[in-house]
Amino acid sequence: MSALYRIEGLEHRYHGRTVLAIEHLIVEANRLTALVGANGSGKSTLLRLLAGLERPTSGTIRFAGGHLNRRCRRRIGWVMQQPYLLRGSALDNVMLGLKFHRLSRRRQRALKALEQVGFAADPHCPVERLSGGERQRVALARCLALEPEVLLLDEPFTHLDGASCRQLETWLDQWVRQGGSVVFSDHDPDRSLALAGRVIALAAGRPVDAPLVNVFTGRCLGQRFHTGRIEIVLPGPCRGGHVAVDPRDIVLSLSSLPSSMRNRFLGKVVGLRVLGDCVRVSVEAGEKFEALITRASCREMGLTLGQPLWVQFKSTAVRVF
Amino acid sequence: MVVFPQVNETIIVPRMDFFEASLAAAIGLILSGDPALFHIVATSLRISLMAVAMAALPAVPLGILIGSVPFPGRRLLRQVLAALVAMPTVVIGLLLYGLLSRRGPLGDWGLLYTPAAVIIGECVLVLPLLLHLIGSAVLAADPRLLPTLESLGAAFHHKLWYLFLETRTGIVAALVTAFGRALGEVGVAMMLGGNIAGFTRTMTTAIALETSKGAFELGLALGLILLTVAFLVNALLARMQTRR
Repeated sequence: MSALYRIEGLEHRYHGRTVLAIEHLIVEANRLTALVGANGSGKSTLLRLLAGLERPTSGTIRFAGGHLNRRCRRRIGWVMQQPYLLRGSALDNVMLGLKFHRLSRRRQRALKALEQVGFAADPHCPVERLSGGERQRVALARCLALEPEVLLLDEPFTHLDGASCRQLETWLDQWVRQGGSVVFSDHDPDRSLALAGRVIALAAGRPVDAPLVNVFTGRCLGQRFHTGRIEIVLPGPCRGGHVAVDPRDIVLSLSSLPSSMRNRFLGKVVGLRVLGDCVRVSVEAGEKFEALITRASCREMGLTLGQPLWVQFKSTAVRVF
Repeated sequence: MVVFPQVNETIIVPRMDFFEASLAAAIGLILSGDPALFHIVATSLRISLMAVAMAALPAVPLGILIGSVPFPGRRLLRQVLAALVAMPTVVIGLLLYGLLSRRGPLGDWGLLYTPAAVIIGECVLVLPLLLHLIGSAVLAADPRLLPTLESLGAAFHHKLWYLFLETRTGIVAALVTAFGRALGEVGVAMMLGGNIAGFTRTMTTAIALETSKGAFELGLALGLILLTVAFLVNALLARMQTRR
């Protein structure tokens, strides 16, 4: 896959405080990339930088092989967490970018973009009368009308109900299949893992090589990490106060498997949640582990709440940071 | 033997009579459509409107810039503008008198004691007020507005225009406040206009001088009209603020 964004030696500061520090990062084209991390981890800042709305304090961001500047604006669609709609109708809002770029057939393009996002209300309806989901759609259509190459979405699921979330998930998947690229931030790592082709986890403004699910705090003692409740075997002596295990690297089984996996914990199922084609299984085994398995696996194992289950993973699946 | 009249009989009762009679005469003056009275009112409104319009031309774009573009010294500038809002009108009148008087650097223009001089003075008076209020209105605008416009590819003039549209309630409120300030001030109009009947006489200068000359009815009539205009302006402002 080709690189859509290439970030080198980036550092971004607000009032002298470093909020983002990325040594090297590539965001590939034609795929769904998720940014996950806690509040204040730098997700929104990174999206603003990728949108070209802010310049990094130092370092470079290259977009599609060239410099990221004002001329790239039309190729990049950016939708903030709670989009701002200007006074007027939904149609007026969608035509705004087209006006700025002096594009022809504004009305037709805007109506097409509204149709693309499944906007069912009257396009002439004043924005004050639109629901949260409809406003989100208008904001998305406003970007799409400019036919961008990439969509940057800041927490797009936060203010949507379950049905709207699923619609948006499907829509994003289709958009990527049609050749578009999406980078979205989300505070729900499970959804990001289920939905995105790549997950970039940020902690305190730095990318961490972990999906930020199954994150445990404790201390390293030799080749083991003590959380206070369980001991996790590490690939070697490490330094750091946190460990994380990718839910996709966890093997669930009804009995202990004779294998090379050095971390084995017996627990019981405390949660089951369907996420697209996958099922997120929560297992309480000293610490609460989240694992992602396919629906077929879940069916075959006949998982039910309260059922005893083994959680197993290799020591190399443990990320220390 | 000298007999002093009792206070109740000789002072209070005639004062009440005087005020009631003057009020009745003032209302009569207004209802009769006295041309001299309404000429003063028209002069006042014309001068204030012109002054606000002249000040608005630079103040609206500059106010939007002050409120939207961060630059070194912006905070200090806003503090200076806030301080200038409270500058006494008579001081502005005095400074401009020095500039426009025959012996002043702009004396050759012959503007002193003309409506143009009053317009210039009131324009100077309301300019900082407009800059301060418009800057504050734009600064209080939704912080998502500018990034939204920028992300859609808005050029500089687009941003200015849409900032104006989105904060227009606050901007119009600033203009209405400035009009009220210009209409109600007396220092600039007195010092630069000279209260020349039929020429530079405004409501406030007429009230001040006619009353001192004993024409209390005329002063009261003008006062009632000024109060009504001020009330209407404030009602309009309140309506705008509730709509916002």
